[in-house]
Amino acid sequence: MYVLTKYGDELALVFSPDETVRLGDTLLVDDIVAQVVDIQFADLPGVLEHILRKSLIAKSETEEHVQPELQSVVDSLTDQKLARTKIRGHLVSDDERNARNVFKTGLSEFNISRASANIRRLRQDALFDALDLSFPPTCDLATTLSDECADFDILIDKLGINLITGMKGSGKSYLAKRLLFKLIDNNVLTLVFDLNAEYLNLGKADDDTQNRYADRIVTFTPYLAEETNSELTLTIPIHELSYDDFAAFVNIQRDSATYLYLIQFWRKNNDIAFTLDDLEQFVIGIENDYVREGLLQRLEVARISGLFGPNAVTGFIKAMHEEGGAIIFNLSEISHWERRIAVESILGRLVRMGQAKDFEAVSLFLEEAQLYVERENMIDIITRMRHSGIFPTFITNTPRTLPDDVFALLDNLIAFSFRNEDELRQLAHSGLIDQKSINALQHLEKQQCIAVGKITSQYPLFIEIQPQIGALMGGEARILM
Amino acid sequence: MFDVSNLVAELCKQEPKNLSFEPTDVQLSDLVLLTVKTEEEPYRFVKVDAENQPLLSSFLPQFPINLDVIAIDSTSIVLGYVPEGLVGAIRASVIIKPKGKKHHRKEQYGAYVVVITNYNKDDLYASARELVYGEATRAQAPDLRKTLDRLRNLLERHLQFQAVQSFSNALLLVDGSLMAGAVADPMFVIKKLLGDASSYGNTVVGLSKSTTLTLRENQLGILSLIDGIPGACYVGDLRGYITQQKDRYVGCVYVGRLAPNGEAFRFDIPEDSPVSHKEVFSMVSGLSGEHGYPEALKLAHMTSVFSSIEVIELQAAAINLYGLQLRENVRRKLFPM
Repeated sequence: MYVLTKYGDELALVFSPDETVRLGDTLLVDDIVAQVVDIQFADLPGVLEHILRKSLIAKSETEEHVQPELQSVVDSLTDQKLARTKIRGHLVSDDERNARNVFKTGLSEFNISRASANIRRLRQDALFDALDLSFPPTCDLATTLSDECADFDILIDKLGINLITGMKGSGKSYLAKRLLFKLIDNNVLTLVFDLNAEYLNLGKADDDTQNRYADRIVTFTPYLAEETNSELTLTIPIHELSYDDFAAFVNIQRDSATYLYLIQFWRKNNDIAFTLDDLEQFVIGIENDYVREGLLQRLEVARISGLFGPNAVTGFIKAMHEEGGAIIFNLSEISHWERRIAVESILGRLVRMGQAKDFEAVSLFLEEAQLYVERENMIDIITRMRHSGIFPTFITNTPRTLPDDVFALLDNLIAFSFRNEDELRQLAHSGLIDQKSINALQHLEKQQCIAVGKITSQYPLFIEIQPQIGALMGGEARILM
Repeated sequence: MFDVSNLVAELCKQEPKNLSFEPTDVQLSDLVLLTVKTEEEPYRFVKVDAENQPLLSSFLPQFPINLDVIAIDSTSIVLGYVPEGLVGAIRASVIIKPKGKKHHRKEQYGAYVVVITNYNKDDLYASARELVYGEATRAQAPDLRKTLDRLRNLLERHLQFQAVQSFSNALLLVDGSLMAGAVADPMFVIKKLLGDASSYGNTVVGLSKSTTLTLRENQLGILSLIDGIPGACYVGDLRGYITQQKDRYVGCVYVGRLAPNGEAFRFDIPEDSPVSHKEVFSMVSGLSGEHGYPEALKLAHMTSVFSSIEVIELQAAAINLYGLQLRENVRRKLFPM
C-alpha cells in the first residue's frame, strides 16, 4: 500500500488486489490515523481505452490461453484500488499511561514519505485502547466491520441525546430494541413511544414462551378492550389537556358560546387535577339549556371513548425507575391528534416527575417523533428535559424532519444505510461526522452502521449489529440457537 | 482453442534467475505500444506500361454469412533488457466469425514472456522453428529484436496451420503477404499452408497495408495503381509485372479497395483458391467497414496489441517470475527531468 496524495484532511492510498482493505478500516500511516471512507479503482491513464479494447468482443465469446505463471498479474494493474481515507488524527505515546498510544485529533505536522511511509491496518483492540474505549468481555451487541473485527458495545453511561437513523429496513429499529434490552439489563427505565406496535412482543422468546424481560416490560394501549398484567389501557387525565384540545376532540366550534364555557371551566380549575365528573358538575350548572345539553352530550362522547381517565403511568414510572424496565406506549392505532395529546400528556408528566426528582434518570425512545411531537416540544425535549434526567433517543428514517437543534445537540449518532443524498447531508449537520464519511452509508449493508459520539470517544466506528437471542424483534420470529 | 502448449513451453522455457533488468520506458498515457513487424521483403520493382495495363475489376460487397471467417494477427513487444539479451512478450489473436452468425468470437493466445539472449537465441529459434515447420534449421537467429519478431511470426504461422486444418470451406484472413522464400518464411512452409488450406476447401487471403513492391516508372508503391479510380475495385494479378524473383510470390498479387471511400491494400490470394478471386473480393469487402478493412482482421489486430497497462503488468510479472533485479536506465538516472 502506498500514499498517493493528500488533499485537505483526506489521504488517498493505492493498494493492490492482493491487499484487503474494508470500509471503516483504520489505517496507521506512520503515526497518522486515517479511516477508510471510500474504496474505488485507481484511475489510471489509458485504462478506459484498455477496457474498451477488451470489451470489443463479449467476454462470453472470448477464450484466453495465458502463460500460467502470468495468470496472477493479468489485470492486476487495472484492478489497483484507491482507498480514500479521512485523517482522524494521530497517535502519540503517553508517558503517563506507561507509554501507551493515545489518539489525538488534528494533525499539525505532515512529514510522511510517499515511498517509505509505513502503512498498516490498526488493530481494533489497539484503536479501542488508544480511544480509551473498553467494553465488558461478554458484550454481544455489535462487531466492527474491520477484517479483524472486534466486539463493540454501547456503554450506558455514554448515552445522552441520541439519534438512531437509517432508511426503512436498514436495521435501526432492531438496534433500538437491542439497546432497550441493554438499558433494562442495566436497570434503566425506558419509555418508548411505539408508533408501529413494533415493541409489543419483546417480552416473548417465541409465540408461546415469555423471555426474561417479560415481567419488566409493560405496555399502555389506548382503547384497550381487555387489560392484562402486562398490557394496560392508556388514558389521558382530562386536566392535562388544554381546552382547545378538548374542544377539538369533542368537536366544539372555537367561536361558539359552548367554547366560552369550556374556557371558563379550565381557567377556574387551572391548578386542579379535575376529572370528567368535575366538568360534568360544572356543565349541569350552566343555565343556558342549549349550551348545557350540547356539552353534556359531548361529555358523554368523551366518556364513552375511553381515552380520558386517571393516569396510571406515573405509578409505573415510580415503581420501575429503580429496577429498570420498559414502558411501551402503543400509539399504532390512534389518530394523529390522539397521539399528539397522549404524548404531550406523558411528556408533561415526565418533566414534572423529573423536576420533582421522582426519578434520577430515565431513557425515552421516540420512534418517528416528528409524527406526534410538535417542533417546539421537540426542542424542549432536547434542551429542558435533559436537565430533568430524561435522556431521549430519536429513532427515525427521515432525519430531515427533525429540527436542526437536535443535530446541534446530539451526543451520539448511529446511522444506518441511506441512499438519499439529502438525508446524508442532514446527518453531517450533527458536527459529529463529516460529509465524506457519512457518504459511506450508501455502501453499508443491512444491520451495518456508523456509530459516533460519546459512545465511540468521538471516533466514527463502522459496526454491524449482532442478532438478539431469545426475543421476538419486530414481530419476526428468531430462532434460539 | 488450438493447441499451442508445446510451442509455448519451448518459447518460455528460459528461466534467467537474478539478472539485472532494465525495463523499457512505458507511458501510461500511451494507449497501445506498437511494434512494427520486421519487414524482410526487399524492395522489388513492378513494371506497368501504358500498353500493358493490369486488368481492373469491380465487385459488389457480399457478407459471407454461410462461411466461417478466421482472422489471425499477432504482436510482440520488448519488455526490457537483461545483460546480453532482452525480455519480450508475444501475443496472438484469432477472431472467428462463425458460419451463419454475424458476431465475432475471440481466441487469444498469450501473453507469453520470452527471454532471448545472445547465448540462447539460436537454439531457441531453431527449436521453435522445428516445432512449427517440422524441419530443423541450421540458420542462425538474427539480432535479438528480430528474433523476437521471428518467434512471434512462428506463433502466428502455427495458428494459421491449425486454422486451415481445423476449418473447412472457410475464409482465412492473414495480416501480410503470402510471399515465400525468406529465411523466416521458407517456400515449403507457405506452400504447405496453402496446400493444407486448399485440401480443406479453405480460402486464404493475405492483406498488406503497405508493400515494398514499387512501380518502376515513378518509384511509387503499387498501392498507387488505383489512385483516382473511384469505387470498390482491384487491379491484377500483378505477378506478371514483377521484374525480380516473381516465383517467390506464391499467391496472385492484387491492389484493391474494398469500400468506395476506403484505403488501398495489397491482396495475396492463392491461384487455386476454392472460390473465384472476384468472389473473394466480394466477401472480404462484405466483411469490411467504411475504411475498407475487414472487421475481423481489425479486431485481431486491436486485441493482440499490448496496452501500456499490460506492458507494465508484464514487466512486473517478468521481474517476479525470474527474480530480476531492477536496473535503472543510466540516462534517466543522470537526467531525471
